[in-house]
Amino acid sequence: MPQAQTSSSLGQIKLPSKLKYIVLDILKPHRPNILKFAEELAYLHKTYSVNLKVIAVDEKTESVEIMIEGEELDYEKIEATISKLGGSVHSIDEVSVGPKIIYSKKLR
Amino acid sequence: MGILERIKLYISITESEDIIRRYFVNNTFDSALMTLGIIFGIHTTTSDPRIVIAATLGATVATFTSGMTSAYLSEVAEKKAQLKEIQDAMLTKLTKSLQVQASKTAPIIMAVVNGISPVIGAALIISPYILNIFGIIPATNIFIYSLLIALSILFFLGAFLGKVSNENIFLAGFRTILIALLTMAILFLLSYTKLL
Repeated sequence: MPQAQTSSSLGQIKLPSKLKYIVLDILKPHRPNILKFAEELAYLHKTYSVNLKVIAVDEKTESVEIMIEGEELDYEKIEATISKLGGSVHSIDEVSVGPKIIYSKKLR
Repeated sequence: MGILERIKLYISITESEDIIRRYFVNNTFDSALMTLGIIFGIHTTTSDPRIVIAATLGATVATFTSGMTSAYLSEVAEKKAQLKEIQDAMLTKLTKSLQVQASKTAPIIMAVVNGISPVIGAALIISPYILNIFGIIPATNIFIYSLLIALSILFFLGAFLGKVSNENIFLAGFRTILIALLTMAILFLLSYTKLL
């Protein structure tokens, strides 16, 4: 019997459970640097693997692509951690839900 | 996260490393030369250690208060402006973020460094006089011991700056000692004018 998944609702981001992979586009101040972001995000759960890539640097800010993979990602905690570090999520660019992670063509 | 790690993080977020280093060096340097001037000036008229301690204590308390308050007030203004710039660039309020906590805590850290560093310098230099008051060391040569401690502190500060700028630390250390010797030479000449 497949486990029922949480449905999304308008007005709030409520991603399905068993989220295994997510790609976020965030804007952050230069400090703390991406090492600190990676450390704090990876610290959220022992199964989290984190990859951060700076894609644009401005005078006061930088845009960073964050890829997180784990057994069951907690989006709310991830977003709260990003906010705590001074970043803001611009967009959720990619997600993967289900028993197997399906990466986009770009990453394969 | 431990207190030290948190302090380091706040300093890093507010990009205050250089300023804190400058505060520490400037104020310790100022207090070392000031205390050197006090003990040198008093030595020409009296050898009473209590006068040296009282004069140094008065000057140090004033430097401590001035250092703490001036650094705090100016850094609060700087950090507020810095936070506003980041918030404007981010197009969002960074409420409850580390940036807000850091911009409130960093001025306190900087004020403490600015206030405490001259106290440490002065306390070390007059320590032979304090030890003499408590009868731990004899009065002979306490002036020389204090001079040597002052010169050592100045050498350490010079060497520290030399390390920061990747220069020869011994040359950098001797450069600050030269400044101390120049100060002492001026004081020595002033002692002939009967002003001291």
